[in-house]
Amino acid sequence: MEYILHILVMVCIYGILAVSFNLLIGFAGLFAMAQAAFYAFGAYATAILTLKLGLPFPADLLIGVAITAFIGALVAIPAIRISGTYLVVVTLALQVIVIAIATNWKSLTGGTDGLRGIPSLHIFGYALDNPGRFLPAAIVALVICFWIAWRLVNSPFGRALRAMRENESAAEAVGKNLLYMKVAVFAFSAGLAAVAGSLFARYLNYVGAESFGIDETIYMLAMVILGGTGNLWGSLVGAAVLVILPELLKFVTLPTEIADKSHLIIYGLLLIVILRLRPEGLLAERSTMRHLPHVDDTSRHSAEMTEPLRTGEVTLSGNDLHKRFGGIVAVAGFNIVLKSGSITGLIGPNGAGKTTAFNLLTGFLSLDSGNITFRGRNITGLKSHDIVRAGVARSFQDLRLFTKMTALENVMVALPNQAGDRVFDVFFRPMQIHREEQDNLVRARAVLDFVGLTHKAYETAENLSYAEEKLLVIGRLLATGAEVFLFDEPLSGLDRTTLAEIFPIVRKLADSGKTICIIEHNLDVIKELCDVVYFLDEGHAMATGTPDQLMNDPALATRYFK
Amino acid sequence: MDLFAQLFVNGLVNGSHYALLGVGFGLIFATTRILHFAYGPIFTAAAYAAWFAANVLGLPIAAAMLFAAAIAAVLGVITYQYLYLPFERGQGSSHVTLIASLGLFIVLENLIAIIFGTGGRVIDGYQYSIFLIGPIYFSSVQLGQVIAMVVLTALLGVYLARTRHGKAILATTDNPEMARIIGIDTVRVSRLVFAIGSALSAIPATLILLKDGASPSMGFFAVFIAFVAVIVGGVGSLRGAVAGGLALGMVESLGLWKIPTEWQSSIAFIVLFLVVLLRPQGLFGRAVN
Amino acid sequence: MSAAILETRGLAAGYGKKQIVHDIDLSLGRGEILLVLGHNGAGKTTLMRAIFGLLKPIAGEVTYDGKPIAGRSPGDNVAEGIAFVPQGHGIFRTLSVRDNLELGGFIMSDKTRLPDRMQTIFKLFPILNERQQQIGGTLSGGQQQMLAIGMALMHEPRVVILDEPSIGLAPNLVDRVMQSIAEINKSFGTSILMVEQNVRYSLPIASRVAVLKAGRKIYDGPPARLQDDVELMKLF
Repeated sequence: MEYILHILVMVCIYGILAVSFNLLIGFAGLFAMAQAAFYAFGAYATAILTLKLGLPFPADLLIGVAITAFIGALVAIPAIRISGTYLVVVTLALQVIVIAIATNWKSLTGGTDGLRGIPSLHIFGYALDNPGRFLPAAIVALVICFWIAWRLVNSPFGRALRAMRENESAAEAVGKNLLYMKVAVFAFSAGLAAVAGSLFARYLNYVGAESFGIDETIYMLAMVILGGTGNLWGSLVGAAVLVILPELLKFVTLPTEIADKSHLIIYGLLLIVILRLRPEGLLAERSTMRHLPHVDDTSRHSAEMTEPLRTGEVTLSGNDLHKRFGGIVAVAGFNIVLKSGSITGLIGPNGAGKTTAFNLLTGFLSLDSGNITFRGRNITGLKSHDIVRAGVARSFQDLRLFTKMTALENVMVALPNQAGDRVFDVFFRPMQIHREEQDNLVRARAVLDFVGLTHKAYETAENLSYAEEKLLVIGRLLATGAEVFLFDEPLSGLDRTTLAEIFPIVRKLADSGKTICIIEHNLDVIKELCDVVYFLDEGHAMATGTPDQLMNDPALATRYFK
Repeated sequence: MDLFAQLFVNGLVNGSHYALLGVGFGLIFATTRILHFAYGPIFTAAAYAAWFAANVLGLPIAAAMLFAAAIAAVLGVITYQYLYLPFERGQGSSHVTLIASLGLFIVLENLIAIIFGTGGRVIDGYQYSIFLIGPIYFSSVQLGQVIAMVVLTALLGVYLARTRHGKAILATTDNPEMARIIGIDTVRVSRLVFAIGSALSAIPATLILLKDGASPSMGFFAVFIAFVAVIVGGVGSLRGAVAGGLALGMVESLGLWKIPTEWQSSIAFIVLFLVVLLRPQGLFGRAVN
Repeated sequence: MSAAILETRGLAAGYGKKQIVHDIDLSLGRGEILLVLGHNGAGKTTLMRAIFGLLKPIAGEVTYDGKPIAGRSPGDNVAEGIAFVPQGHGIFRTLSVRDNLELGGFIMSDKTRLPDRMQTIFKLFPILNERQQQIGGTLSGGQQQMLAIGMALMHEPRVVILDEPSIGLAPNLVDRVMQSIAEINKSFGTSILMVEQNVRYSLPIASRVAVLKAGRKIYDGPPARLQDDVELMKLF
């Protein structure tokens, strides 16, 4: 009986670990392999603080969680510049270094002998020093940790996290602060793992370096993947399966020399078989369904959408922009002035620097020299998400929709000024978040109505037709509430009928005072929509004028028009 | 100064060992994009196969090495055909293939432990010679490690650049879809690189058998260091894997000069950490955008 | 023996749960240029990939020279004289122009003909001759497209399938590419199945045109008749 209780305690501890790991791998898409290191920090913190400083519960737990969360946040910073296999390597390296420290810094960690005699938890004078007594505490800890993770992933922050996972640059382009999100999710993941570590220390009354090696991280990884990434309940199931399975196998009696190895063989085979049968994991990722509000509620906000700004004012201007990549000059002395209420076209041969210009204007690339002003304010050098928040947003030629999210979610994640993006507000201002979500739904509906995609609100972006995808790109950009829209080939590949439907939408946007700039190859679109056109070649504007003026220019004709 | 020279030579030797492991692993990874965890136990199996050939069958070392390479190649191809290929064809992310590979790792490592026992195995009566040049000493096995790396890497380079199959491998590494479009059977190419990559690991495996003996858990470190060498050197680059392996060996060894032994492995990782931070594409890799 | 060298009947294809192409009958005559028009999402690329073997059809037949080939691997098709130029400059970016061309002839059993074939390609695209040792990824967009077409021609195919050869190219380059395709058809008698969105430059070189909309064929006939059809031309 005590044996079963012990198993259950371990399931709780690993449940917390798997949930914490899933936050990183499943929800944020950050394949970091240092989870056992965070686990170790929590365990050693409790051990050292109780044994060497005599701190009582919950001081050791809270300090341990705080330190580990901080370290997690530090690990996030290199994660900004690297991803994929490289992140795996860096975090693995970290893992190894931490274990080496644990093994070698004998005075602090007891080295390979570890630290013994860690005091058990005492609740109401009761010592939780056996599995039966410890289990309720473990369960309480699991419930609290699970709730924290749950709240995080089901909030607007969680939605932004999934968007970041789907496509980082697109998430940035709708104003999400990637650094903040990565730091936050790493901090949470590490902090929760530290809770598990502290529990472990209190339960076994001992910590030693051998419990926190790479195998541990891999063990936790298997739990997350088996249970299903992107599903928190799945992590619990995965933890339960992978803790209980080896124990069940012990009942298969075999000669002692080969017993534990045979058990491991069966364990490995079962892992392969289960994954083969259910490659997406035992529990699939669920989408958070929200329901669209009715039409009456939108009237309030459609007014907001079309509130006119003054036209004819200079909004965005790029002055003498220069950018080179190694030996290649991409942009050389490019000047552009955009005005509210007008649609500006940007044309030119391939490799002329058009998309690079957009990247420079919106902070996706840094300038070598030159400056950018928005309504008189110098925005050169600002990060892209800050530029979006200031009012300048761009779309991508290759769409970069959040493919696994619904059209509605794609739009909602782009809405600006969401308190729900901030972790503090998610946990400490739930009512405000709730109200904002209701508002967000209304605003999202208004956007979907505007581009004519309301009937596809619940469809995942990857299931939309090409024309619908293009409309969603426009809608997502609109949702940012920016004043200046830079569209990169928004209409390419669309047939005449669809174009005829979209042109008035674009025109309406401009008439309401927005500033629009479009990169296009389709000369008919340029002629139809644009008030002024810049012809870009070899990195700078070779000519500016109305569409007719440019298309009748003989010099340009040879370069570009045939 | 003498110590430095000795450490330098040790670094070169170990670096060559790591480099060769990296080359085999890197070939598989660059061409198939599969993180072949089970490379470790296949390396172990090769060592034991060589032991079996030399100790039980009484074959000379060179023949034992070839026997080991053949066994490794077969195991590699079977792993690809029956584990990775079905997973690639099904749904599920590359993470799933990674965990499946891990499952196989566990199965194979323990199978080897059951068959051969957990104690180390050495070739009875084998003794390697020691050479002394000035203040530096090294063994025949260590010399073999360096020679093996140079020869095999050169041969592989020529094979890839000059033969039809080699070019097919390079094409598949560059652009798998385009390779299919020009008529290359990419499944056959994958089988080929698994065979070659695994067979390559048999040489360092046999040398380790000669130097330290074989043990069931020797595979973990092998695949781990191979992976690190490839990342440091740059994925998809033969020169990179060699450079990465040598760099790791050197840093690890020269680090001993000033830093206490127990921190030795950490030094290598700190260097790795820095390289990846400052130059994520590795020493010779293509720039990541 | 029919006049068509490549035919499809009732061909249907898609990805996973999404069926994109429904019940397509196409017929490419010997020595013809068949242009398949349609906007993105109409199913043009899906159709080409299904014909060439990169995608397994859901239903229907594909015949080459009277022989059924549906569902066959691309390798088998290349060996019998069908070549494919995928969308977006399909080349090997880390290899040189020369290596790329050689790989185009990978399937050829008689390697001695490679140098001659390369000379033919160089005559067609002189810029490739100048830049033989240059690494593919460093070529400009237009040059990469020429290299891709050159690669396809290396093994003397009887049919070349091109998926939007003009994509991403400036108008004057598009014209060059189209003229080269017309010349290939005229000089070597190669039958061409070409998918395009750019009507202006591709229509003039076509022998016949098929139009796809939402995965179905809505027109199949001579280019002139298409130009007269006001309703249809509204699509472009």
